[in-house]
Amino acid sequence: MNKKMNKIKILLGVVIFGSIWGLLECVLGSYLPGRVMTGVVALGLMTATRFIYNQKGMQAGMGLIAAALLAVNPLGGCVICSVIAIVVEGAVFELVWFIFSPDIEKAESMSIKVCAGIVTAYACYTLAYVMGQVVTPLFFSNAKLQFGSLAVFIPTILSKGLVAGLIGGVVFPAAASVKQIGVSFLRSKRYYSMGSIASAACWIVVIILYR
Amino acid sequence: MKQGKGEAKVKKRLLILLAVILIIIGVGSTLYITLFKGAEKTEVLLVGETEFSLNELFGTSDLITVGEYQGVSLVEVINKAGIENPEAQEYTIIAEDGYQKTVEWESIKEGIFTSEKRVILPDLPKQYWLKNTTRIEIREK
Repeated sequence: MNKKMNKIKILLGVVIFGSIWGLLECVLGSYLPGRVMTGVVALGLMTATRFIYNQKGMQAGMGLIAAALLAVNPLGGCVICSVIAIVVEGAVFELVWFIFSPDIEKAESMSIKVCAGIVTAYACYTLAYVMGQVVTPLFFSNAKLQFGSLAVFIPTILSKGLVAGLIGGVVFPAAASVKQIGVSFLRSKRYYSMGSIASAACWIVVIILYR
Repeated sequence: MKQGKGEAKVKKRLLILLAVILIIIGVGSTLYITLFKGAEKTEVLLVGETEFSLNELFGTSDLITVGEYQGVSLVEVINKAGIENPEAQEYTIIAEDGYQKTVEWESIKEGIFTSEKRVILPDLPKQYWLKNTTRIEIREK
């Protein structure tokens, strides 16, 4: 499947699902806690696309597209924090899959899928949180970065990560199960037209609603 | 990436082990926060060495509005605490759960403290708007 798939198809996939991710972050990000967004939206989309396209690096690309969409949304609070978090989530997902990829991709047992979901969501949430805290002060002159302050809060980050991990344990097997539906969409003649329209719609909605 | 059956088996076990370890860490952290951090819940705000009850603070100060929030000016709070040369200090704002952020006087000047114990700093991102604030530590830069 992967060898036969042309690069344009994959690139369009990055744009479609990155745009959907960005739209969901803009619309739901203000209402749902970060751990739920990571466990459901980020992990769900990244896992589903990984199983459908089976393309390394695609999820990091989706993170960049989602981050770009968030950057045009001025009402979403700290744009730079959200952008950092999404880019890190994409990168951490790639890292976990780089280490365990053949085992996760070929995982047929539910226990492996659940564990993969827990590990991926937990790592994505906690590392994105820490990176956000470390990098954000660099963009604001009145804010100070103190590693001591961050260290005090580590138990809370690890505790919140548990929620993301448990959600991930449920979402991952569910997202993996959409593989067949996704692959038939990929093979459909309407993939290019539907995909382009969906991506454009995400951007238009964010620009109209939030700009 | 091709791997042998033995290596695949090890990696699968490693993945399961990692998931179990993360759950244990998460549960342990949650217990730690519940047992130890929960005890810090309080209805006072400690600014430097001075302790204010919330009633005292809101009963004797004018409320100002920042965006959709209303509260006491942080400048007034700092002044009431008798801090000298406030512009030469840096301020660490600490929440009940241990979350803390350090900011400069320029941000404090714009900020408010609400009756819900939230610090609003309009010139900084929301990760600096602490909820359930219990303390503001002050030290020279």
